[in-house]
Amino acid sequence: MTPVAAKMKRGDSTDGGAASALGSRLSRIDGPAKIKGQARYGLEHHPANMAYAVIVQSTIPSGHIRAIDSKPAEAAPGVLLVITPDNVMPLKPITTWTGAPSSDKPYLALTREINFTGQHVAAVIAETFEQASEAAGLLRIDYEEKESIPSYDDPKSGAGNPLDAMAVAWGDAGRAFAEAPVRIEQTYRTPREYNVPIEPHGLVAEWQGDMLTVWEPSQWVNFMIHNYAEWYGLPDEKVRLISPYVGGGFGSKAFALGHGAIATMAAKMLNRPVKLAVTRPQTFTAFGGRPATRQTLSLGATKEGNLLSIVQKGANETSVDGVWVEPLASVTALMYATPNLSARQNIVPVNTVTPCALRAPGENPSAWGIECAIDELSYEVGIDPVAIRLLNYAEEDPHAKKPWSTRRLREAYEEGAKAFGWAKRNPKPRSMRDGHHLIGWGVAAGTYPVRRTAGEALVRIFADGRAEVASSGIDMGQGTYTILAQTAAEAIGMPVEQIEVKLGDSALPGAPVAGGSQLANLMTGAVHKAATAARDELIGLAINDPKSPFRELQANTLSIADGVISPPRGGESMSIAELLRRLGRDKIEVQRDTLPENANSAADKLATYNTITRMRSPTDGDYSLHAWCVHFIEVRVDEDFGTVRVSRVVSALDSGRLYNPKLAESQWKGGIIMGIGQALLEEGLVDPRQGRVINNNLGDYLIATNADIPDIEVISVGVPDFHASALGGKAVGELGIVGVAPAIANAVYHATGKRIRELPITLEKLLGD
Amino acid sequence: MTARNSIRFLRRGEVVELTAVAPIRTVLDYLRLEEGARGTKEGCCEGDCGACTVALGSLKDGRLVYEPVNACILLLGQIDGKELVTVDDLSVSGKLHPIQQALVDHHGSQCGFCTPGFVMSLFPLYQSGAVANRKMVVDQLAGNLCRCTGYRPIVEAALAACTGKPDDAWSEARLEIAQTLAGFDDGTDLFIGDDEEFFAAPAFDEALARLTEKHPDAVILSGATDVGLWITKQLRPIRKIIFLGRMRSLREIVETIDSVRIGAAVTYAEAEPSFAAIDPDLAELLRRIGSKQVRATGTVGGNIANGSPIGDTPPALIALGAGLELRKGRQTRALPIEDFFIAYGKQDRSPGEVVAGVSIPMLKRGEAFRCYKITKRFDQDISSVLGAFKFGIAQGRITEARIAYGGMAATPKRALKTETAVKSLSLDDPAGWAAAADRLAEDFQPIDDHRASAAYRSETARNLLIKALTEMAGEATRNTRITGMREFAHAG
Repeated sequence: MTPVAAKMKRGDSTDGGAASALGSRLSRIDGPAKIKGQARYGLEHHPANMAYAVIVQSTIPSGHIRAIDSKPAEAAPGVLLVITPDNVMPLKPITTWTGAPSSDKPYLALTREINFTGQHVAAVIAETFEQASEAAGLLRIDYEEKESIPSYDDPKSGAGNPLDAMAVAWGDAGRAFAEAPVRIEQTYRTPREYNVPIEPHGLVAEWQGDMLTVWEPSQWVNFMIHNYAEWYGLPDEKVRLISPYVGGGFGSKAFALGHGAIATMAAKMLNRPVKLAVTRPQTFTAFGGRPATRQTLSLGATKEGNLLSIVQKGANETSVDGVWVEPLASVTALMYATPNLSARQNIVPVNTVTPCALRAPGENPSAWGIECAIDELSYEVGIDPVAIRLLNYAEEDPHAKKPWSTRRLREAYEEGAKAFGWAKRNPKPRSMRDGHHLIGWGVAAGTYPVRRTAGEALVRIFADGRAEVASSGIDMGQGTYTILAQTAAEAIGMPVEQIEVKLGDSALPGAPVAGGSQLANLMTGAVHKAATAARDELIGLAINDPKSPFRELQANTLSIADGVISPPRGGESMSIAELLRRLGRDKIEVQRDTLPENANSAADKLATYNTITRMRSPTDGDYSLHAWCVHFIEVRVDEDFGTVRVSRVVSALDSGRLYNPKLAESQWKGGIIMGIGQALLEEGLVDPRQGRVINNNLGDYLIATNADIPDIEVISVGVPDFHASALGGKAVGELGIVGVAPAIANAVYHATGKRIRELPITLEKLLGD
Repeated sequence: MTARNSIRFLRRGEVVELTAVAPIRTVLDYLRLEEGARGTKEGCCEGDCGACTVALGSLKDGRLVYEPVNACILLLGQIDGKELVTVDDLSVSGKLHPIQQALVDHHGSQCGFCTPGFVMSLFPLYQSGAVANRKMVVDQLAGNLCRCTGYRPIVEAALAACTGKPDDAWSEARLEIAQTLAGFDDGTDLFIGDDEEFFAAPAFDEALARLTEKHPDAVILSGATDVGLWITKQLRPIRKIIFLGRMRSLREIVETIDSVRIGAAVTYAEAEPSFAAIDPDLAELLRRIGSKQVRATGTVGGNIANGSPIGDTPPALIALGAGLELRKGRQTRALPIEDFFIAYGKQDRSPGEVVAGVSIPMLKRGEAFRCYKITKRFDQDISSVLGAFKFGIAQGRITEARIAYGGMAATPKRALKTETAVKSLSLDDPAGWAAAADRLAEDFQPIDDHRASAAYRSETARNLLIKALTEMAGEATRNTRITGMREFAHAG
């Protein structure tokens, strides 16, 4: 007898339910405003009497400023103020995002010490942008240049500083590798990469007495106001940051940066609003992108392809005056079962701006290494690249030694391979052609952890039948507005069109960073809790209030659907609006947080929303929590010219439950195309003499255009994971990019027989021998 | 005749007339700062990202045509006589425009910052009445960068909205708009400002001659796709601008049986059909220059006149044997186009002298042409190497050869030694081709830069020549084109 397959519940609209229910493909509710050009971004707020600031950046990589002559600039038409290291306002040190004090010394946004080309050295504020730009060119800066280290490829940089605390080891990896019958040892490299959101950075700052208002795109409103408040010695309530729309961030808009200090101090010094828009070229040094990374991977295996050992020695660039760690072992020590592993990493200080987060920091370059290396091993032992991955499948977290909460990676391989047609692949490199083009099929897996921080939400139900959800959490395109409306609609039992969501304003209840792919999970949890409490309060009133018509029914329960309250066994229904009117209530208002009950003081909230110290690690608890994906990618290579075009992508992803598949799929695809750009195009080119980013514009720093992107099929293989989050979702936003670049490099190898171990895979790397 | 001292354009059904226009005022700044219409975004301010795309309506041969342009590097004076449409205008009485509705339905927007530019790149496609296919849409959107969506939903939205029957406020008012624009065409010279600072847009040869003689220091402006960057990026203090876009004599395309003469102020978009008539490769090359936005204002004349070593049209025009016509005051002179490029940044053009046009001979019987553009990114990228080849072929032998490359030297340059070596070769002699290709090393010593290494350039130049000869030897085929992904795998 054949067992009848039970219909799998995915927690999405395939289970049934309203067209707008959580899990349905509701179109984004902020779409019409954006498409009409009516969405107002931070820099578009122009208060009366606003002045314009323009930043001047260093032209040397290292040394100091002997003197700045700002007189000609000050005398130029319209100039109101020139800020240099000589008159910069010292600001107070802050508590950093890790909860540690930044320094015991004042923060100086401009210094005479120069640590990298493109460091801010002065700012000119004038009546108009043109006047400020003109005067900025009149500054005479006398530099004394010192020897510099433009990149970690410069021998002067040395090996860097070991990060002993980041080292991972089990077994005896060195010995196991030395004794392994099959050994692979290669170095994999990624260049500097930049976030390049299409909305450039900048802000408008206005002081009213000791109250500071900042209109600035932000991925982390609470941390940024806390930072601004600490700089000026103010309580958080004295700073308001407004960021209803964010034109992309990808990790770069979570912090108050040097230009934020300059604009706010200029506004204070002039006592008038100041706008500072960082120019596109300046964005390449006003904040850091992903650092350059290199990692040597040594894989030892049996002749059958079973891993015996993984040894990783990695390094990433950092700045001479700051520390950025791009954790290179995050996937290496997670993806495969190996009895022995050792991973060590150095950071190498060079004369650059301090690097920062760019979509999947750590996981992205980590997967680049291990997913290329395992592919190399598959050819070495003569096993299919998918088969070798399944052969070494980790049944539990090999590092934390805990069970996975959910890991539908096998299903991802299976469904992805089927949709792609992997079974038809000729395993031999250079064996597949279409006319003049070599065809290659490659595969690689990816993963991103589930990060968990508590959140908070305010829900109001109004007498006119509308409801409102409010949080300082932000929407930079992921779809926060939409899924929170869906969550509240479902929890209360109201039509989604009746829900208004307010986000991105520090005056609203707090939220932690929109980073680490955590916001959707934590905010749906908080909104669900608050909205459920609001619904319960409404039902309590309906049952108990003397003015309620339901009171006479003496029902101990009522249901709410589509904005209408109904008794359990028939009888007269009534809209929420009508009930509230009858009760004489103008609204029901409920605020709830998801902090632990024994740790939800004001100080706990501050630590939760303003730092990452309360973010739970993916292995905190009984399970190891991660999202997973597999990318199957086809490339076409014209060997005469080294041109590579990605022609097909099928990705199967396990992000747990999807709150809105339309939004989640778009996030995945957005990650995948960024991965295609990373694989083939993106590369910060550093001038070896001055450490200058040569291609600091969108004409030369190439991100993928429409024509570079093929049809992308994404398949959700996830199931609700309630260990991961209250409503069953895992990570989405940063998952899609992880593993794309190695899948492309593996496909290029399959097409050409050439193994490219340094990103990006540009024309000339494929030409010649 | 006295010059008009104002610019006029159509905006939201009304005529806007401006008398005080700073010569370097951009359309984007006008919109955002003067009109307060902030739907149009600034993403890069150098025509790379397309967030600032707006649509311009103009009459071409009496027909109303809309084109997308980058407002950040378009000067306000350039829109004289046109209709300016921005994203703020599209939804009428609260109802989304069909393009906007399709973008909402297909999830064509994430962070939303690039979105207005995409809307306005699609608007002209919608108005054109074309039944959009994927290839058209990809081409239409080549100049719009999106970092969030993965493009695909935007393409789907375009396919859903552009179904061949425009039905919106613009299609309803077509006649009226066309009449207004026709009324703008008063044929006068335009001059705003004074002798120290002005935006001039002469219509007649006489006025242009007078202006260039009096102001040899003025910047000659054609499409502003390069000069725009002098303003927004290099912050050059430009005070005098002579815009050629209203010059009747420079806006002409004259096709005869054996040549095509393209006036210097003819845009790439306008030149495309004539280029296609010479050879499909030439049209495809044009399609790969910049983006729709760039080709709507950029001109072939401008591409030649600014003499960039990586301009895309010059190598092709050199290979085709085109002649250049220059005009200074009332004097004109002609020279082979390759003689115009003297050295890096140096052309055979004196102050006040204007490139007036280029004459391109049609291919004769027994002649064949090929050109290839090699880039890292398929669309909107500067060539690493560009090779252009014209061969005369008789009885299976190469009888004539003109070969030129871009990206191989400080100027677009002919490969004279290689040409000699190729001549008289048989089309059945691959060994001979290889020997001829060796001569490229004598013609060119390319440099390393961030677009390609010297070694890559040399090898690619060689492979392009072999590719061209292979195609000459085989049947007439176009399936070895160097194409973008969509074109060969997913078009249609």
